Amino acid sequence: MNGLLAALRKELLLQQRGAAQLFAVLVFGATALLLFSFAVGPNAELLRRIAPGLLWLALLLSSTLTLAESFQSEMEMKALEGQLLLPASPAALYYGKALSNWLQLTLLGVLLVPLMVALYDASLPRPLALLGVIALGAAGLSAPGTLYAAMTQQARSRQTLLPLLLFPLVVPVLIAAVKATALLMHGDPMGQLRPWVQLLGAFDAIHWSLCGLLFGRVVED
Amino acid sequence: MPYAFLALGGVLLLAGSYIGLFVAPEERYMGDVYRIMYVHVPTAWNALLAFTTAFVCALAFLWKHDFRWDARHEAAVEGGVVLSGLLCIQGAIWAKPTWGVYWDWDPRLTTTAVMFFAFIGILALRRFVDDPVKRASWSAVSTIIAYVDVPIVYFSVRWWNSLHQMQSSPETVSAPFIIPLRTNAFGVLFLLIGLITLRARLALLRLENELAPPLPASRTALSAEGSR
Amino acid sequence: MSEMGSGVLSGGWEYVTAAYVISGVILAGYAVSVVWRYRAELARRRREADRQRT
Repeated sequence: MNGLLAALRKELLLQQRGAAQLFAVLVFGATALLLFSFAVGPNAELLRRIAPGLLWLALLLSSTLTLAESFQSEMEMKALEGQLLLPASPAALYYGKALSNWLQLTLLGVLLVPLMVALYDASLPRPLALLGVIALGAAGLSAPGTLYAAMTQQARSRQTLLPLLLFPLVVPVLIAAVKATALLMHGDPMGQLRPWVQLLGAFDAIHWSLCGLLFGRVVED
Repeated sequence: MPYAFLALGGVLLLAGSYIGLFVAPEERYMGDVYRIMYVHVPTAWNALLAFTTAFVCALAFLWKHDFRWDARHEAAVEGGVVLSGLLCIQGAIWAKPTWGVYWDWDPRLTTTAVMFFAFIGILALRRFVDDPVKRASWSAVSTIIAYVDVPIVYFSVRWWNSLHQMQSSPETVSAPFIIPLRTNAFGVLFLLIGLITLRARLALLRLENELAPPLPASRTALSAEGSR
Repeated sequence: MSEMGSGVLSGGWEYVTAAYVISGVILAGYAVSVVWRYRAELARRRREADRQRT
């Protein structure tokens, strides 16, 4: 547990110094939202209807930048080997990074929401529930994403490899998060929200445990 | 031995397809188009079998650290990718005359498409990692995660699509239709067994070459080494 | 499926042919590719072994 807290503290410390990086990713996500509206056309009704899908697409695309960057400091200073020599286990290293990525992605999602409201004339009748869905979805992206980021940062063609591996895997997250967001924004007369949230929860539970278990095999020598 | 499997598989496929095309009766609602099922269903069963084999080999490698399991893993993933890609093409060809569109987001076919992309990514991962140990471990981990994800993908697509349409393909198959189906199923199975065996041998040969490359070929180089 | 339409689909043999032909081409093509690559690797090994012996 101490190892985990130490790893998390290190990550957040790094991120404070890398606030410029976070801002850059936010601008990327915002630009994506803008480009989507150009691609779809100035049809307010259509944009309002597909706003949840566009939000999560923007978040998914931005996540590749955040995830890839999360192992950058390790690669540059060859710090990965150094960290593995410490008494903290690889699992602590993994969960520290995954938690840090999760926080960043949740923050990113939350910051993109006002832009979505403005650009797509979206409504927010249940903002707290939306925060919950963003947090669950971000967790679903960050668990496998952190694992694959650790792998791909050491491989060739790392820019293409991470999304290539990650995107098919997180299809359930995309589907469930978009569905849940749409129900929250456009109304849920038949009470369909719960199964989608449960699906997100199940995905998160499975991947946070499985990826933590397997991480040791990814960083061992 | 694997060549025997290939030959047997080919013969069974030719026989089963002949029966399916010319001997089996017409289907009540779909006319002759249903005959696509005689290649589509066997391909589906064997694609899933190939990926399951890959999953088992990945687990075996992580447990035993034996590179023969890594070779079989690579072979099974490649076979699965070929079969699932073929499955998507067959599904599109069947969908057009029956539903009017090439793709109707059928949960099974959509899950297959996702699997196709996931495992092609794993093949790409293997190609871009130079260290054989990392390549084996990482792709094994990736296969395990991808395979565990498959049922989740299936259920999410099914719920997502359930508001729009019912299940499309027939579930039960009656007697005169079973013989060509089973024949082709075994045909593809034997073909798959033969191909995975050969492909695994190929992977092992390449790995041996990687880990212990042959000495320099020229005699001058050898004699120069000797005189030192 | 009985709710889907009134009549039987007639014809459609071009789809059946396309499906069988593409399946055959892909399966046979992959088989040929595996066998060819395997034998090429075996031949390369034999050449390396011969070169080392001389």
